[in-house]
Amino acid sequence: MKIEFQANGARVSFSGDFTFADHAAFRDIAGRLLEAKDETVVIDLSQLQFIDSAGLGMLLIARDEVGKTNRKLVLAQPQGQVKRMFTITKFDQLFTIEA
Amino acid sequence: MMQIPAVEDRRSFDGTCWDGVSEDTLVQALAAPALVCVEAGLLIEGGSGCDDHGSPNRLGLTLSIRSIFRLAIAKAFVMAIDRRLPLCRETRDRVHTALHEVLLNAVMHGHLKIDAALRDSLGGFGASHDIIAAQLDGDDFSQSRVSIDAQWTEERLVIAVHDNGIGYVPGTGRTAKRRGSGRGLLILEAFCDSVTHQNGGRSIILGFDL
Repeated sequence: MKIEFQANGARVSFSGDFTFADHAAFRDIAGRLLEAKDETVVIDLSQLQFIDSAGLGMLLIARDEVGKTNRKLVLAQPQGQVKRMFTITKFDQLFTIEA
Repeated sequence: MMQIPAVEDRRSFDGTCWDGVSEDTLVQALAAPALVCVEAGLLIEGGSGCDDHGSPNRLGLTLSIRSIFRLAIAKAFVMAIDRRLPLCRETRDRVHTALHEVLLNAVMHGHLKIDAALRDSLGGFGASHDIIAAQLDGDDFSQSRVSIDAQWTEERLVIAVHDNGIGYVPGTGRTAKRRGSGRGLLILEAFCDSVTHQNGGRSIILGFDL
C-alpha cells in the first residue's frame, strides 16, 4: 500500500492493496491522524484497489480510536472491490462514507 | 480430490518449481503451459500432489504457509488463471478476495491458531504479526503447506484449498466476529457462489459461476 498525507495531517490517501501485511504502516498512519487537530479526519480510498478483512478491521479500530477524542473518521470514495467489501460488511452503517 | 504431498519423488514430478522468492517469480512459474507448480523445498510423494484430470483447464500450486504469509499469493494465482481463462474485473475481484481470505485463515487459524482477540487493537495486529513471524521462522512449521487446485469450464470456476494443519471452520470459536477480525465467512459467502468445508476444515471448496 502507498500512503500520501496532505499538509495538515488530517487527510491521507491510500493506493494499492491494504491487507494484514500493512498493519505497521497503518499504525503509524493512525498515530498521525490522532495528532491532527481537525474534528474530522479523512482517509481517501479513491485509489485503493484491494482491501482484505484485516484491513477492514484496522479501519474499525482507527474509527474507535478517533472517536475517543470526540472526532470523526470519514472514508472517502471507495471504489470497486473496496466499495463492495464495505457493502457486504455494512460499513456504511459504521462510518461516514463520502461518495 | 487433490492430496496433500508428503515426501518428494522428483522422478515422477512433471510440474514447475517455484523458488519461493517473490510474486514475480511465482507468476513466471505459473505461466502456461504449467498445470502444476510446487514451491522448492516442499517434499512431494508420488508426483505433484494433484490429481491428473486429463484436462488442461486446471492449475495447481503447493506452497508453504511461510510464503502465504510473506507474499500476495492469491493475486498471483488469480492472475495466472486469468491468463488461461479471461475473467471480467468483477469476477477477478471476487476470486482474488475469497482466495486471499481462505489462505490467510489457513495460516492464522488452520496452522498457527492465532487468537483472533489479539486483533482488537492496532498494537494487537503488530503482536499477532510478530507471533506469526516468529513461529514461521522456527522448524515446527517448516513442512506446513497448502495446496490450491483450480479447475474450470466456460460456466464455472472451482478452487479447492487443502492444508495439512489442524483444521478450522470460519465463524466458530475464537474466529467468531470481533472488531478486528471474524468477517471471513461473511466475505466468502458474499463473493462465492458456493462454499464447502470438508475434512474438519482442512479443505475448502470455492465455486464461482462465470
